[in-house]
Amino acid sequence: MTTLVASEPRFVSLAAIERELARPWQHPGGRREEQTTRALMGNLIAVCRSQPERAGLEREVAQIVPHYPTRALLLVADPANQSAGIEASIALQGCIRGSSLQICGELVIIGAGGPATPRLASVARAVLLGDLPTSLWWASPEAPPLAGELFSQLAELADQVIYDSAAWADPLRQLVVTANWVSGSGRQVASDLAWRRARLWRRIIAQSLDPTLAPGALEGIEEAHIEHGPHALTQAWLLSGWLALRLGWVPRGGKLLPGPGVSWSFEWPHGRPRVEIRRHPEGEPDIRTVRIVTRVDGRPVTFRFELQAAGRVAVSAERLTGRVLSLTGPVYSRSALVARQLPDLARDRLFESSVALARTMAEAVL
Amino acid sequence: MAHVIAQNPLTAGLSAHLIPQPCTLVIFGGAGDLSARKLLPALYNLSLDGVLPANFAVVGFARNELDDSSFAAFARDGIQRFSRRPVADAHWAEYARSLFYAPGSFADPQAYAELKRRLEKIETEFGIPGNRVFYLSIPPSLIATCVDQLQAAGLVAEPREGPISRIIVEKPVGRDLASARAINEVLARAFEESQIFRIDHYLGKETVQNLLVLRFANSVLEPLWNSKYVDHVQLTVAEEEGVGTRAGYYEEAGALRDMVQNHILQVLAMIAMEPPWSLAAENIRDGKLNLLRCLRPVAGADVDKQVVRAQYGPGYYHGEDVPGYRREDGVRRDSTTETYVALKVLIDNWRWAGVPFYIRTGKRLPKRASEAAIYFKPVPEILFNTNRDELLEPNVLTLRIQPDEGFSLRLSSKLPGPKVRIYPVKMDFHYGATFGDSSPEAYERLLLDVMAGDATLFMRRDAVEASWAWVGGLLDAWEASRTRYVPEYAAGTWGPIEADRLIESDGRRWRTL
Repeated sequence: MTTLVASEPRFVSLAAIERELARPWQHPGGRREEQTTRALMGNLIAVCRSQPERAGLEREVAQIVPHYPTRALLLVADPANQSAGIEASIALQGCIRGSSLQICGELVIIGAGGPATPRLASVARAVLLGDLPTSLWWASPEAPPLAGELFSQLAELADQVIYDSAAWADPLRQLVVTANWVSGSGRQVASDLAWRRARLWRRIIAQSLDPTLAPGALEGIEEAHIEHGPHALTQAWLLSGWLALRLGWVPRGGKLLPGPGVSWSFEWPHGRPRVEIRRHPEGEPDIRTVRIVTRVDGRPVTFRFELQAAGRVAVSAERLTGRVLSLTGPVYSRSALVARQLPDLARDRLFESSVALARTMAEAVL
Repeated sequence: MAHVIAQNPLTAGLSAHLIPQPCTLVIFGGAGDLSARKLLPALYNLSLDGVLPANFAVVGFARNELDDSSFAAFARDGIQRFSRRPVADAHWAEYARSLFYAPGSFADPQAYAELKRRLEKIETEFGIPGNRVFYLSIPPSLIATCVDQLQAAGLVAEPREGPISRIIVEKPVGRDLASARAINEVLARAFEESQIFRIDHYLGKETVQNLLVLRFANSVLEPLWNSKYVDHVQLTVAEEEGVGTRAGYYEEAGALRDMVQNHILQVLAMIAMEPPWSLAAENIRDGKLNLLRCLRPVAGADVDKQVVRAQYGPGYYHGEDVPGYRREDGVRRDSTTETYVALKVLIDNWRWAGVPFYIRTGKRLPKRASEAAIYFKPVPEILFNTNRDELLEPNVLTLRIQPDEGFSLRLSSKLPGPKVRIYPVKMDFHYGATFGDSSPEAYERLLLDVMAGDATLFMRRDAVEASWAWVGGLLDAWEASRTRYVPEYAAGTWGPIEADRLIESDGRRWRTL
């Protein structure tokens, strides 16, 4: 029988963090069969910029631990706070099995005001566990390369940087800057949660247009129309970048449309396909519909993919079958997306190439 | 001129594994126990995870007079009772739309003709390009009938061209080498080997899959994985339950056929095989086959020295009185069927020369546990190991297959204090505790692998026959002995005294689980 346990955060001095985290080993209870073990897969540095963000992030980190046992450093770098001090608190998460405790989460919360922010990286460096990979989750709405010195210092400690472009205020410009950073990130893995969110769409489009099911559908694409809600612009751009990249389309030009929207034309041996992306001012922060006009076995067919609810997409192929399939995929919260990304420490070349192509497309309309 | 796109470039990066192909899964015995307990819940969980093919349907085929809606109700009941995740109403309607039922007798050609018509209609409706997976969840005696009827009805497509046809067969395949060959011949009449998936759910368990990772992704282990450093290996598959409602099957099978011939030898092969040169299914299966061919035959007089069989007698199960095997319903009062078997197995190859593999499996043992324990050789009797009355415990790497999947490593460490006192400490890894999320059931992984055409975790014909050939020596010796005496062990104990003697005569002891 396994019982999940978690302790409330308690304040400790910076110098005592490691000692306090080791306390469960120092008081095993006196009985020899009572054992404390620890199984951690990595370090996670999660960064936010304010106390309200902190509360949400603390909950999210607790949700990540059961999927990715980790020592998590939650850094609150609050520029509005003028304190020069740094304060720390710690909490533990674990499982009790019989008479033994297995620790699978160590949370260290470190808060600093604006003047103390430059010292945060030194605190993090001292608390990270050696021999384990380190991921930096930039949970703040700034694009990582625009986040200044703190990001640079923390990124140096990390094997992977996770960010979420859905939170960006000026997504096109931030996409261009971030794409440049991704292409030069060297050994580091860069990961955008918006790319993971688009996975269901990629899978369903890939399966529906598969040559065995719809012969000629990929070669026959004439138009692709993507409509999205607020905060899903980069997801739509990454999806169109992916489609163009995988089919070998070469961008030939783009223009802004009223509405607002963007349109590009591409070229490849099978023709001159066009992609149009339109934004809905309200609704779910997700891609809403994808419409692909193509030909199957020489006949004109329009595939329509429509989001019905979170994780549920209706698929129809006008003039091919009368049936509407409703396909589902798992719905992941932000913390679940991070938990799934954390063990992926290999560079995702497909993501990097899709970002690069999305940058080319963005530069054409900026 | 632009070329035609034959391979789908959009699937790149979507999965580290093969992508399951659109198909219809036909479950023969769809209204049966395995279907309710394992198959339909596994498919439901795959559906929840969004990993099933976009175009997918399930058809239950059996004699029971059900229709689509009562089959859906049957599925829902099974999922509610046995799924690792509860039924989510929001998702259920979508899942239920892909469930169909075709009633019919397994021997009736008309039923297969009707099944074919039904499949073609479903395939048109769901946009499935004729791909079919047939799951034979039926007694072995019906396999030939079923396969012949499938072929006669034109339900099986040739491999390599057009739609795919695959067939899944449950273990055990046969009850001896001759019958296994006969079943394999029947299957081969209609299907090529690449289309046949012999399923053993043990091979879908995380720890079993982790065996190759543990061995070949950790440089600290593989150099020690040989006769120079390994003293012996113990494989245990213990069951708490008695024969229950399976007496009819078990009387004909026994522990050797039911457990050893298939998944214990498969697990042994994965523990002991040479490194494959790639992870391609055929290379791994070649590796396992080569290992099985290295098992030293046990026959004639060696059987009594290296094998112990026994039956459980009356005893206690969780504090309650339970009857002995011969008093169970459906069991002959003079039955000599073994409910327990312990073996000493030797592998005649360079890596494992002289290293005994001790195997034990049985029913009505004190607890349910399956594990493999690798005992490393003791350190020399110098330095910290000089007290012959209290020799240091050897290092042991234990791989727990069920329940509580995970592994542990026992090391020696100094107890704090001024004296040098050595104490064994165990480093333990529990999948369940470390990854709080519930792991997928073995059937989930295996069904997905069949849809994707990945045969790595399935038994190939030659390996099945090699296993039977090795086990056959024991069966022949038992048959020839015509003994009416099979040792008894009390239900709720760890087996007969003879099994203790088997290992203790080599100066070793069974592990306490």
